[in-house]
Amino acid sequence: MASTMLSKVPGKLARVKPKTYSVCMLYNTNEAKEKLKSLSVANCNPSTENQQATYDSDTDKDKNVIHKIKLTVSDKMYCNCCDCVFEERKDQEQHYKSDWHRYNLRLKLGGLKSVKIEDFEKIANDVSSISGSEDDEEDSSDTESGPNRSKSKLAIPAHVRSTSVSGSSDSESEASVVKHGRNSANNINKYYLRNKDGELISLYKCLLYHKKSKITDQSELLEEIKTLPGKTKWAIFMSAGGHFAGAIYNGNQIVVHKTFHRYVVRAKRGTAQGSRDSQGNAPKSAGASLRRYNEAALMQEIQDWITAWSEQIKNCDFLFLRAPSFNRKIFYGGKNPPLKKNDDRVRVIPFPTRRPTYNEVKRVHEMLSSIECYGQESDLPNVIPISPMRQLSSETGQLEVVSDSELPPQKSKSKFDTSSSSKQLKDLSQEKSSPPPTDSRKSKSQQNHENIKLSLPDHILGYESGSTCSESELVETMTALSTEHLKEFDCSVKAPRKKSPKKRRKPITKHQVEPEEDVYDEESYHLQNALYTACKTGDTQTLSALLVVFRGMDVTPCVLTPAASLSTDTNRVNSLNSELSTEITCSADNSNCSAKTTADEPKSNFLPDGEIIIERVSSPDIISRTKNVESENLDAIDSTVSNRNDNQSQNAIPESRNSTGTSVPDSLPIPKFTGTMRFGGYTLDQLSPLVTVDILNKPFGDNGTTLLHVAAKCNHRKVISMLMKYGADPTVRDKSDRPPYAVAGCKDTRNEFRRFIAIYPDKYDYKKAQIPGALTAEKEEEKRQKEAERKRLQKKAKADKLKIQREEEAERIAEEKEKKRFLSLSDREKRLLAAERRLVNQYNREGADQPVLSRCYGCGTDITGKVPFEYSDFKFCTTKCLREHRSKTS
Amino acid sequence: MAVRAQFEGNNEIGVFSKLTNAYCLVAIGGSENFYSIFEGELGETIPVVHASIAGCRIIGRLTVGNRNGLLVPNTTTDQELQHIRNSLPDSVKVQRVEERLSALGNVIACNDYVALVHPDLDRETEEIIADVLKVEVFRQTVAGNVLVGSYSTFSNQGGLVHPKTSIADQDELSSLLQVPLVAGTVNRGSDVIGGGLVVNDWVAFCGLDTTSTEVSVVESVFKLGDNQPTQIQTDMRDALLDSLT
Repeated sequence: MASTMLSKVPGKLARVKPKTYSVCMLYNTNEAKEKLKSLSVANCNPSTENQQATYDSDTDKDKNVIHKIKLTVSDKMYCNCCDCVFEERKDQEQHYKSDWHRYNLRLKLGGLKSVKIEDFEKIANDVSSISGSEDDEEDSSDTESGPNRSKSKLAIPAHVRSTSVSGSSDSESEASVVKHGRNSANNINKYYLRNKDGELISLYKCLLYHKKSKITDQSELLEEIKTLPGKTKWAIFMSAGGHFAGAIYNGNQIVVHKTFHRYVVRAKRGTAQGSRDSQGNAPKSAGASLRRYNEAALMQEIQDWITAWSEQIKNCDFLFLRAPSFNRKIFYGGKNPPLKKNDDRVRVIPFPTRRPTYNEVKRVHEMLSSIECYGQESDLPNVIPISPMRQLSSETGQLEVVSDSELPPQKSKSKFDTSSSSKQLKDLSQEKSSPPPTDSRKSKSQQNHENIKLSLPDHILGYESGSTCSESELVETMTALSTEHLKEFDCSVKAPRKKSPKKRRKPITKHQVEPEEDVYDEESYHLQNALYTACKTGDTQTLSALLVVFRGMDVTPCVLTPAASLSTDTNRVNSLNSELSTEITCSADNSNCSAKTTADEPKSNFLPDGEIIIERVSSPDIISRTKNVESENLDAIDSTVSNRNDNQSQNAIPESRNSTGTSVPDSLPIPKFTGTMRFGGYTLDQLSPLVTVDILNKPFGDNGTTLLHVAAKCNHRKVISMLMKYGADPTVRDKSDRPPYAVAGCKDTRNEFRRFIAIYPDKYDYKKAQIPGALTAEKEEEKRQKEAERKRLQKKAKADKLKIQREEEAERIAEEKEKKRFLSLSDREKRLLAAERRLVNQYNREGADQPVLSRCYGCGTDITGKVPFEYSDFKFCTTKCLREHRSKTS
Repeated sequence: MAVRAQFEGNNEIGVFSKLTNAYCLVAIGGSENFYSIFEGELGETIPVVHASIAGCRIIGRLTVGNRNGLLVPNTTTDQELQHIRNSLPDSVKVQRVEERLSALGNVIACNDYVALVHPDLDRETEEIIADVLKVEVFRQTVAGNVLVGSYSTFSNQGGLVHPKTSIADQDELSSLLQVPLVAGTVNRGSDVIGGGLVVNDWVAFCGLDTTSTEVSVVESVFKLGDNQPTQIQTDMRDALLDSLT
């Protein structure tokens, strides 16, 4: 029914971009007159007259029919606009709440086809919800057209969105013009004409008549148009968001103009707050009062200016006004309103404008005064031509057509690239036979033209492109600006600042002043630092790597202890062995690294296990300045290690490697060194005379502590033994006259010193070091046994004590029980019991046999003198007998 | 029963009054004629209250309500709100709504169980409607009009919608609202149903211009008055006649 009714209405015209396009300005009087000769109304001009009262007969029919219609509730669960059927009421309810339904509803109101749910999901993919309110757009669309804003919204075609009824700021410009018709075509703000050459031209309707005194007669209209080229004195006023721009034109010349700005819209508030002032709860903040003051000042200022121009305004043919919502009272309000409401020269600017500025006024003037020519009408049958975008050129002060290629890429076009939407668009273009939308409140269509731009192709766009303005702003360019010229002077290339990670990790004490000149001093300083760090943190790996330096010196022989002592002390050797192997590994890594730096080294046959090496080398970055190592010494170590391995038959390091140096196992890469080693840029020749064992014993810092002190204080036992092995003297005392042994934090640490004595009994003067004596393995074992024995005895004593306690406790509890049982007896029984006991005692005293006065009823045991268990005069020795008896009798 | 009335010479009585099953709001007019018509019909059953919203008399277009509650726009002053609260029964919740579309009567149509609302109404408002009026809310249009409150009126018994509502749309709306619907006019052919007609479950008031045909349609669809065709007369008539012959 709906479709048949609606098909009576003439179809909507497609909008097409014309091939040719030219503009002629009204203020170029002669040219304009030429263009406007022998006019007639173009076919494409949407007429408003023939569409009214099409339904009159239908309503009558309805009335007659009503009595035949059965008044029943429909049970069809069907949504017409989304074209879907529901099974249950619940589904139906849910559907009407869904975004899909709302989206389709809007499409339907805009005369578009609904989309399927799948397509909708694609469209709405990046938007969580279609908000019902469009406040944000409305309020700011006039003043500032942010190109980004439209992206956030779901791309609903603009003219669809516009269907909401609202007191929109722009509605005055559009809605009233269109009020009379229902066809969306009426919404077009231009009037299309054909001139004597058969050219299709267009003018803004607002030039022809005031919205309140609409001219419907065509001949009258044409007459009016003919007079237009003579009416070139125009005034343009725009006010929005505290900005005002006004100008009076005579032809192309600006007679006067003025722009200014006042603070009336509070930052980040977005909306005008003026409406709240009148409601009683006016904001009292300082900002609000500033705004109020400025609102009043703005109004006063504008009115003053317009009054000042009143002479010129009087002569004007048209007054074009853009004053959304609150701004209107500036022009019409007050005691002496600057403009009169009934003045039919006042016309509303029929397209969206941006912030009122001088340029904007110029653009509006250019737009309004242009007669657009679209070429021969015969070329454009039954289509509404759309004008291309135009942009105000800063040089000429005239509008210039912006070609499509100049536009920035349209980002959200992909949103609508879905099949459905393209279909939908196709439908639009072929829509001649399809019904036009029934609702025509398109007041906001132009505000939202950005949205439509982003989502719809040109022929739909063209609908309002005659008034395009903000598109031009969308052009974004990116240029790289050099700041060279801002430099005060040319400076030479700065040496790149190196930040050595080493420095950051160094704990620098007060008295450690970095030596500046002496290379050796510096060297030893760094070494000391590294050593200190290792001792402090207990980093044995690093330390062993560092200590390799000293091996080449007088200490080395000390390491090689007789095998006999080793064999006696297996534990010790095990640990030492593992230490040594790690030491060697590290040193091997270091040398590996150095070998890399001197790649030309011919004989170096290291394993190519690059990863491990790099990892290990890079981790102790403090050792970057480690000293060189003599290969002979390392060989010597190798041999010692292998000797020990022989003794222990623990093949952590295979022998074969020792002899050949080529077949290296993956687990422990120990290469054979030959030739000169380089490390950290120092070769062996450069080895400083200062770098001796002294460095290990050198006191430093406030307290005159040595490395050994540090290690002892921090309880790094392995470090202690390692240091001492390499020559750190435990006799060196700190400032408070304490040897390292005295500083040690715990007993285990102290024992470490003593164990060292056991291994190296003669190395240092241990008496001086205040270390009491050697702690050999036997002693330790002995001590351990003693301790164990002591503990065992202690345990036993404790257990005995506990046992006695438990017994006592049990006795006490038994007594308690007895007492309770006794107390629960009746007095007679107590007496009886007492008598019994007396009797027994008497017998006992006489030395006679104990008489049996009473027996258990259950088992017959003698219970004389005991408190019996009883029930109904039966007495028993235990509750067990009692229970048995009772169960037997019952 | 449908009563004809006029508000100071204006037939759009739906603009100046709001009628529900629990109360009736009447605009403050120059004469008391309008009020006395309502008072005479309803005085014994429900309170008839003089009210204004933001100093305006067009209360019927600005407010929306049913047995459970009344929603007023944010322009309502505190005094007016207090007056309305004091005059209405305690069971009726009165709430102010911060809605951009402030003519709530135009954008919302409801009975005691369901409401049709403007497609662009705020989500929050939708929730408030559901909570205060205790109704199921549907976003829908009436014959392509978004002003559902202006172009339709319905009670718990039935509804009258815009004359150009297609049968398919009527079916859909009827299944949504769960009441029988009829497309029709009031005030001698006016399609602004909400403006010309206020109705509750037992009485209707329409503009003075309303023709007798229109009144009879209103009475039959809203099931008013005594002349209701009974079930037997309508549904079983054919069967009865068949068996009688």
